[in-house]
Amino acid sequence: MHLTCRDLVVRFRPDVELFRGLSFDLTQGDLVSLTGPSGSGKSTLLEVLAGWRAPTAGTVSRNGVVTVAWVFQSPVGVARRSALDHVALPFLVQGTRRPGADARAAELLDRFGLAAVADRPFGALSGGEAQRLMFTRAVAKGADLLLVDEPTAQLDPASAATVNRVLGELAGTRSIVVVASHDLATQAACDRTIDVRGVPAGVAT
Amino acid sequence: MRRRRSADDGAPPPAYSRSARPRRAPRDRMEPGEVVREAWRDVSTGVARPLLAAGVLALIMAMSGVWAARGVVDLSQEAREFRTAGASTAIMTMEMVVDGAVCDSLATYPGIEAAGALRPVAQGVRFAVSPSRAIPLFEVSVGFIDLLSVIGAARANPDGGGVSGVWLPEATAEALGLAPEGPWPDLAIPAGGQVRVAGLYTFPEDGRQQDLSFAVLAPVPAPDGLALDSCWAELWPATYEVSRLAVAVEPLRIDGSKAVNPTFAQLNSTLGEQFDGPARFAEVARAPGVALAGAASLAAGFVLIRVRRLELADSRHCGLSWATQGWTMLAEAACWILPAAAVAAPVVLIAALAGNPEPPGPAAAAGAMAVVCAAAGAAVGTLLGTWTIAERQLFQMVKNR
Repeated sequence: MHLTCRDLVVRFRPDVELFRGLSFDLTQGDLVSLTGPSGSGKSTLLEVLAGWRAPTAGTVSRNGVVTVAWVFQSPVGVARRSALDHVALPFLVQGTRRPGADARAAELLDRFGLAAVADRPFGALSGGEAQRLMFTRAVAKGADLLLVDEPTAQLDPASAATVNRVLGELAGTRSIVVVASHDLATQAACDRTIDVRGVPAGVAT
Repeated sequence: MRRRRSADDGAPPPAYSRSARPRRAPRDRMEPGEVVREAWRDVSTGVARPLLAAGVLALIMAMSGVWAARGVVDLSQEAREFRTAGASTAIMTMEMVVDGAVCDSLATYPGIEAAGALRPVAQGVRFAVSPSRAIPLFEVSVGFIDLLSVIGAARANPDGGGVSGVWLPEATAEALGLAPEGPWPDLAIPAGGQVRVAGLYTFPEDGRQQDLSFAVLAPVPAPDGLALDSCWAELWPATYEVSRLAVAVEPLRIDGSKAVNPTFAQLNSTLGEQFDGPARFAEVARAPGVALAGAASLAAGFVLIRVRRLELADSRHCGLSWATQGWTMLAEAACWILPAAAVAAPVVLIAALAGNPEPPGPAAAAGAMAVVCAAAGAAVGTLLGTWTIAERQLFQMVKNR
């Protein structure tokens, strides 16, 4: 499974051009961070990688990448449904019956340090817990490609640290994880960094 | 990362490589039982806003159902008023040549509910309580009493007088000292003897001809050949057409009376000549209330889904297909549509019953149609709302939140 981008360009108007021929390769287990100033197109690049936006020029090759999961800056959930319900849903969709889905969801919640809040409604979770829940659900979905957009932007430092720790645990898993973030700690949790302005930034680890 | 070329350096048209086209997510394999359980969890936790939804829909159903039912009830009342006022009663007059038996038999014709003949008796009748005052007397065929039950709310004497006695309008009864409520005693006549009172009828001054408002009606056997003056027929549906009456009047003639020309009149012309019940009922059935109920509930169902678009798009992102989500939303909708219908149904039934002079079936059916339309509208709105949800919108929704 690998993801290859070649000579990417996204143009919004004739005078606004992003990426300028950006090229990179990602493979299974990669955990990379996208860097660049505000407006440089980090989120846009995530959309391109997800297949939700076609680039103006260049190609994206996603060999073996079928399922894509997103983790957004603001966690998305159903306020009155429990954390367990959120993680169980992907298993139910995969055909697992409720008891099995709950068991597997509980296992994942435990792995991500959320066992204590499994029965708590999503609306009652703290920001850090909700964001970690989003990661947990993405793993439950079995995503080949996990796209993460500013996961710590709305969190206090302590919550952000827990989220970054969870992020770091995703390295080397079966997914390709791409994170758009200004947060240096988040970038440090990743294996390497891609500057979306098209400038090679080297390896961050 | 390598910078290979810029976008405007003559590069080939932008494209995804074949393997990079957005792919369909693997088909979801959610069990039907789990669909129902998920729907129930959304309902029981309040995620589906079942109370709000049921309340709104019950209101729409009740309002539209009551509107539809009352439309039919009002029509029934109007029809009853038209009939009891005598507006649907035609009078065919041919002095001394109307065959009373034939006139009675018109009631067996389609579109004629009751018919009967009468003729005035020149001397009138005097009673012992007021011997100086002659009251107009009419001899009527037996069928005329059936007609009185429609146009005069005739009520028989509780002592069982039946038709073997005279029928009096309330004004005459009052003049003779009879109470409005029976039983009524026999009336003495100056020459000696008694006359039984068979019953009373009402004959208000509502625009109808007043010949029978102060009179005495004496039913007489109507063997073939009994010559009376006029034949009254209650037509329903009431389409007072002379051509139609002309066809009916010919058999009434006693043999050898061809020279008498018939005249036609309407007992009460103040309410118009026609009341086409079936056509009016069709108009009521086509009233926009039912369509409005469907549209309003469709909008309600649609909005109730759209306000959840973020969480629903997120569920799609978890792999839930449109079909599965549609079934889930329909199952949830059933949990508020059915209770709403259960709440609205008795209200509509009461509306169909209250003040309805006819059996409540048609009015209840009209109300039920509105309720069913509202239920269907809510279900369709739910599906339409679900149809507008796409995983792809999730990113933009999150950005705009």
